[in-house]
Amino acid sequence: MNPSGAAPGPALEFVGADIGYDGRPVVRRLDLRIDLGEVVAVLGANGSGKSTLVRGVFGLAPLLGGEIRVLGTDRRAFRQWHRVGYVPQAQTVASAMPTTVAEVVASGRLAHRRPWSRFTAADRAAASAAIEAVGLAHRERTPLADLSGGQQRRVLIARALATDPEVLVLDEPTAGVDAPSQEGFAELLAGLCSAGLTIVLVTHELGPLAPLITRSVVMADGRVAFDGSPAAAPAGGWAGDWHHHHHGDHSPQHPAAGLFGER
Amino acid sequence: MPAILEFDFMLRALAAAVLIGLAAPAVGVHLVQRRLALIGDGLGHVALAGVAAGVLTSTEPVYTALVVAVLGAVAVELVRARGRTSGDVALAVLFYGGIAAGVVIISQAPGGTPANLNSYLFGAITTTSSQDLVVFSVLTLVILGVTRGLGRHLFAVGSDEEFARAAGLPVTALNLTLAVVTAVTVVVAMRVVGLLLVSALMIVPVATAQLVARSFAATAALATALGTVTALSGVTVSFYADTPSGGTIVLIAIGIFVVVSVAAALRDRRRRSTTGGAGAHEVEPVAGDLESPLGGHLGQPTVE
Repeated sequence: MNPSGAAPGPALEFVGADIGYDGRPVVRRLDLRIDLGEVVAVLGANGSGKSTLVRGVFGLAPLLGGEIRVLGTDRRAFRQWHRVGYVPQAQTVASAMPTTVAEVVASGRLAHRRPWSRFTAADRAAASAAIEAVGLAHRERTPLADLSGGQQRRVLIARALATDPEVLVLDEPTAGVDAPSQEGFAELLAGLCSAGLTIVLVTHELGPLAPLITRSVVMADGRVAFDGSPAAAPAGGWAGDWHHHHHGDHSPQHPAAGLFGER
Repeated sequence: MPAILEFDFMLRALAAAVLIGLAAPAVGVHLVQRRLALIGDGLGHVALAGVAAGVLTSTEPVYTALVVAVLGAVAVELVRARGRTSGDVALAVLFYGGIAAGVVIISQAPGGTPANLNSYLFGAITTTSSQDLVVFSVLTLVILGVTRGLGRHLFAVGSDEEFARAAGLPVTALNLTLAVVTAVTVVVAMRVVGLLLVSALMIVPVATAQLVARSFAATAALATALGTVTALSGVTVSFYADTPSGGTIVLIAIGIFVVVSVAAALRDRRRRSTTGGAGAHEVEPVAGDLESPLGGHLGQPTVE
């Protein structure tokens, strides 16, 4: 991890960005700048465009108009992807083959390796350090299938950390994870924050992560509905989706939306 | 000296068996990881059109089959990468087209009948010539070189294609490379087990290995070992029992798979009864979606 107190500068910039699928923008005319050192929560209901926003950074959702800059460079010209770690939504963890924790995390090092080149001792050391950082040091040779859901999420985080990123983008890392695992995840994230990592966290509920967040961006209907201090943000992140059935009022500004809507 | 080693054609057959026994599972492990176990069958169908074209034009069928299978593999990968729901239908059309074109083209060859295709459909390992062996050796080296040199990259794409894209890996190029290597494997295997059984040597040893291995690397190594042993023993049995080599090899591979499956099931049952069912899954409650077999690589991206 890079030393704390990274020089301030843009980590991610969206300039009039339209991002979507099949020519239909989900995120529209987005102007947003996230600086190095920030810990940003991107909140919003299902379908608000919060995941599409970060998928646009990596080209997983096509940029239909405008511009996205990654660490100051247009994403289409950006080549240093090892500087940006990505933790995708967890559906992708399923595997048809026996696969160990170490094997998955080692694949995070490939952003540093051209095809045909071999892994070095430094690659193996970085992968081991990442596995240790997420608290799975004793599980390196364990098959993924033997891990709990919360542990599998940690493996995906370790894979992103293995590349030694300056910016870490996480898409719904705690969705469907029970409360104790969420608190463990908050501890892990706190450690990464203090190491100076820039963090962009897509979620529809902050839960125990709230104290770590320096800025909340709330998406609604493909646009930024709120951007500022989490203290001033509508509580609960406007999570007006069907998981929150304990309130009849689905107004996005409902102040009492729960922190643990999903159990 | 055992009788089998006294014949040059059997020595060549055994050598060809070793080559395909090594190469097929090395490719198959990546296909099974991507849930593309049947792609080899499809390319086998397509290669048949190439064989027929070779017979018609008096060209060595191995070369024409190689060209047609590689073109077919690239087409399949391009259709798959678009991720349309009609993708599997497009593949089916391509595969039927391969067989149909093969049968029609061969009928136009002087004295050609579909029966000429039998040795390619079901394998004719004892007809392997010295020249075939040279070609197979070169192709096998290419296959093993690619699967070793690009193994980690292919693994990363197979395990999580979206992450691989986000990490800046050349995902499309890697998938095309795997498709081409699969086509090459089909052509090497065609003489040994036949186009209709080509896929079995790529898939069955891998299916067996993943029942007992705990890592991807161990699965690949064990599958390669199983593939080699199976191919060698199949050729040997076919020599002494006077049975077709391709079918014999595949039946042995399936026999091993069944035995290992039963043993693994018994092992799991015993393990469950001794631990009282407290697997790691029960330690932390898990959301159901984690168990879903959705590979992000086969379908449309999840739009949130």
